Amino acid sequence: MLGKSFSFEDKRKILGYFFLLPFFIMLVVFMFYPIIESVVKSFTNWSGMTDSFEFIGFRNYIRIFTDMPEYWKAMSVNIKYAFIATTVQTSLGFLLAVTIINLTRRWQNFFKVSLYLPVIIPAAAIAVMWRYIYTPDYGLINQFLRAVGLGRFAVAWTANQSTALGAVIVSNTWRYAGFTMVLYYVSMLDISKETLESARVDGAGRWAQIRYFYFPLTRGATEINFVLSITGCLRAFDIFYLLTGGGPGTHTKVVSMWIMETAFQSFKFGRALAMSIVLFIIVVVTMIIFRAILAPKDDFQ
Amino acid sequence: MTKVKSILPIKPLKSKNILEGAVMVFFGFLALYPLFFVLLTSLKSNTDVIMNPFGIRTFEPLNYITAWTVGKVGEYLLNSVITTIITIALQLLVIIFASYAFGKLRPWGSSVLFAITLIGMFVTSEMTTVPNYMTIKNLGLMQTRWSLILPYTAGGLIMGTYILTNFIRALPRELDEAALIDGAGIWDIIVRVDLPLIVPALAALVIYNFNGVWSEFYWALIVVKQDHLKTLPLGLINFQSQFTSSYGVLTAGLMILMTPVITVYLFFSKYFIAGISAGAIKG
Repeated sequence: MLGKSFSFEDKRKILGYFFLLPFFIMLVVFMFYPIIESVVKSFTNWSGMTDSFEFIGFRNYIRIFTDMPEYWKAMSVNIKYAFIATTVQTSLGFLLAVTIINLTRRWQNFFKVSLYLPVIIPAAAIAVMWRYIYTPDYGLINQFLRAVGLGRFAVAWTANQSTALGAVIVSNTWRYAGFTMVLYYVSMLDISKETLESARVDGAGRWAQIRYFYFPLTRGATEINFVLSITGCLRAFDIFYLLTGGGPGTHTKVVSMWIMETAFQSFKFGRALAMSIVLFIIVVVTMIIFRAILAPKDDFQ
Repeated sequence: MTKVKSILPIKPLKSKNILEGAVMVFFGFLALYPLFFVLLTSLKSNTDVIMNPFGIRTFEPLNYITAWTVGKVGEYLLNSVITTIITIALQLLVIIFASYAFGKLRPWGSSVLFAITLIGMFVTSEMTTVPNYMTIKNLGLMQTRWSLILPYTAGGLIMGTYILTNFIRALPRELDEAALIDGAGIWDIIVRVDLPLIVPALAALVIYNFNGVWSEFYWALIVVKQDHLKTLPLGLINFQSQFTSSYGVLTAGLMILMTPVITVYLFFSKYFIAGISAGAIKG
């Protein structure tokens, strides 16, 4: 019990520790301990099935860098995906934001809410829906192509080497274009009306406005968007697993899928942990690089 | 001047914005049509799906009943609801206590602890998956709901606590001081003075975390192997292989998964979209 010698303020502070207890127990058990455990066990040959393991030094890491072409092939899928998906999503999102910014407030809200809708739909639903849309016989796309007389272009979109990655990119763009649009839109609202108005009076046309105002002054949104999209693409799992299953063959197999197989199908937990730490480092380094390149300069405002 | 009230909920576009309007209507259509297509398909017979892809001639609500019973979507939905409610309730409890301590009680060293926990925002799920799997296994929680609930709860804590702590720090202190002068005890101040002020912030918090838990797939795929514990995203995968060519039933299942999120979204879109700025901090 708290003695009488404690002041009111002391009692509050001691109570504070009790209030923090559940928070720290949860975080230590499910977040901080796992990170340490991950790092330690990545230096072992632990199978995950038994409690026995031996420390094998850097062997797991050396193996990833010297004798695991499938890991790097998967990484190249991630990188290609990150590059194309981010470019498409960012440019489309920017153009959409520039387009709605001139509409009345109510129309802006209407398009904001409609285009943001796909963002909140669960990944599993998005994947199942798009699988159906891509279905060779009765999917939306092929039905549409046949209806307009372009039936010869109808293919099995997710099972075809040349279209599978594109199919994932299209559904990813559908899912996130509204997100990017809102990021840019919010940041465009911060641009002062007077600045834009005086530019307009000086005869700046649409393109001049975009080039000298909307584009440079939304650099913060570009940065956040690049970082979120690229790191998301490097770690992508759900949509690939559900839409293409990594196929055809291993054509669209991404790093997360290899990690999951290594751990839970081949039961090489030690190696899988090393693989996820390498991925983690790549993601963090990418994030830092993009922040450094794209961060808005202070003198920019 | 007479004021004419428009029948449309939104004013028609001004003529100088026709081009912008047309572009946006096109993209709005692209965003919404796939969802409409799914809704339409879910109400049709299979023959109609094949013969008449873009229209609807039959009305087949039976698809929903088949999905619900034969496809076990009812069971998956119940699992998702239970898992989500318990997770959100636990999260709220832990977040409120922690944020109150970080924001108001401020025990010695709490600002350092607060800074340390923020590092956790950068932790990716790949880093924690394997050890968490072992922890759940060692605690004997495999094949129970707790295998989902506990890691989900932990997952939403840092962001939630960060948001609520900032909110609590911005609250005026005068009320606390006034209550103190009136002779209120520690608990009186917490329950009667501060808690009511926190309530409005909780809505945003619930919505922010709800979607993450409701949609989670990766972790569920790893730990849940038995049908009677599967949540909707996971169940839908079973479902998909079960009804590969019954498009009506498949899309009905899809509608059941999406409707709760879409409904919550349409009512609280403001909070979802505001979550963007919060999410941006995470990046």
